[in-house]
Amino acid sequence: MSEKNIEQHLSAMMDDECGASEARFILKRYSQCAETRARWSRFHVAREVLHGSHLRIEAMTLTERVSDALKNEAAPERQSMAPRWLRPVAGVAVAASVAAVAVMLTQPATPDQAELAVPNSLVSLPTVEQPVTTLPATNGRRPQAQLASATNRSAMEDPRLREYVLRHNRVAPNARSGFTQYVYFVTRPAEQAEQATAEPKQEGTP
Amino acid sequence: MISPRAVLKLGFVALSLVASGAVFADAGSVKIWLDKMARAVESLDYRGDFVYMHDDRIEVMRIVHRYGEAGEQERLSSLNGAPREVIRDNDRVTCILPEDESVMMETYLGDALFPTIPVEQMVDSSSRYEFKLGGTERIAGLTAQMIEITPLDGLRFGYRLWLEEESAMLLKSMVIDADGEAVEQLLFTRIDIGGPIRDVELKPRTRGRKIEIATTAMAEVEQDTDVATETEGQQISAQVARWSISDLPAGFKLRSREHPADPGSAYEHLVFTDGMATVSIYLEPSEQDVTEQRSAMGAMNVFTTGQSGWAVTAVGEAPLPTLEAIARSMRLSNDSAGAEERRLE
Repeated sequence: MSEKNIEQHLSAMMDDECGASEARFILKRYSQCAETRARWSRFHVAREVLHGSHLRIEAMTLTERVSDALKNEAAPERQSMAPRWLRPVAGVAVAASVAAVAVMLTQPATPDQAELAVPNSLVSLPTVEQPVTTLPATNGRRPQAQLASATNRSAMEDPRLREYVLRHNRVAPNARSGFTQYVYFVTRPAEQAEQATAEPKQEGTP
Repeated sequence: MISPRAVLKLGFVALSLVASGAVFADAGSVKIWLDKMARAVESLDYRGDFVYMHDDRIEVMRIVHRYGEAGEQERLSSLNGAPREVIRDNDRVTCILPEDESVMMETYLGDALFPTIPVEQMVDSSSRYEFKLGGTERIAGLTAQMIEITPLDGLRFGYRLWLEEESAMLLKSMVIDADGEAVEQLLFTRIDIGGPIRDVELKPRTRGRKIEIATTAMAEVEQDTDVATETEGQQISAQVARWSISDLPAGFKLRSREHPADPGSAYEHLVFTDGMATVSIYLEPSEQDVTEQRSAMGAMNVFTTGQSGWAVTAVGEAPLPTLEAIARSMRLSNDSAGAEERRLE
């Protein structure tokens, strides 16, 4: 069985969408394979992160999950290969979630590998088509987040506001602000970059 | 003979002192931790992958940092989306774009690729924050000391920091709003601290165009333009003198005021801070009606409003209501400012 299938079985187990036979297989694999055990823990770390909650490892072990699954033979088979916890959580886009998971699943052993291990595991999660850069405008959870979704990054797209933000970053003693602009640079979508550079600036003329 | 009323009053004062002491009981040790963290982020060698979550987005990035005889060197890159990198070699920053993207030049890039927290003014008797040492947790396989910085009101964000217990390297951080929701989070999923960083790890991986930015050189350019724009600056400053401040949110003070020397920058820049959060106010004449605007990126909010032919824009890492309150505390007067208002002169 491929690593990809193992991941899918683990995802099903986390979603309580695992059938009895599938549960037995995973339990056997879990008991024999350290990597599967580690992967189970990492999945929980990823889920905790995606839910924005305090980071903690799920207390419920895989063994307990399997026991529950075996008790409930009528447990439904999975409807979709896309794990529920990877679907949008409070407005978080699927592709972005997968990207986060990909890094958590990427555990290069050496610095050399670290440099080469840029997210190969992205391809192992089948529901991703393209990285999503535009996110749902509403999630009903945090008014400020809704606002941010609707006008997200507009401050960095408007030349006047961008100058304000960058000047603010320069004077603010809180270097977190400076970090934000670098994040914007390395992660902004190409189409936004085109908009932002409709009037390319020259060095020294902000 | 002390009256029962006086006893009650003394008791209340005593309780207040006890409460005040409790608020700052951990402040000293927290400051030590934060001092150490600021040094760690700048002076340690480390490489790691981290997740940065904000505005319902998740960015996955890698940072490599080295501090040695050659000074401070860093490389920040995105692990998803289009390959872009920022390379920092001391005060020189190189942004690398894919070949098919347009060029965007910015001259105000700061000089640190990784966030820190200001510690100089934040832990003092007038602080509007409570500082607490939390427990320890494991982050990215390392034991981390949690520090909680909680605002005493809803006017500012709170912070939770997880620092590696030996080096004080920042492993995780959260900015918390008044509802206890995380406005933004940063979390290392893998980090190596203290290991040797090879030269090749600080070289760009992206094949694209390089844009080099020398941050100190830009400061010199700006200084050179001071003379050329002095007249314009005086004109703006004279107009800005009609502005005054009233009813600032508690704890915020005016820290600085300047007129940018850049040609074409016809605005005044005021900086307010409560020691932790910093809010900029920009006052700029506007010939058009100003529509109120609000936007955000993570904990950074922007609010623009209009007043008598001026655009007033607030920018800062504070809740939007606080930015709005500061922006609205700016009052344009016709030489008859109230006695309690503070003139911008």
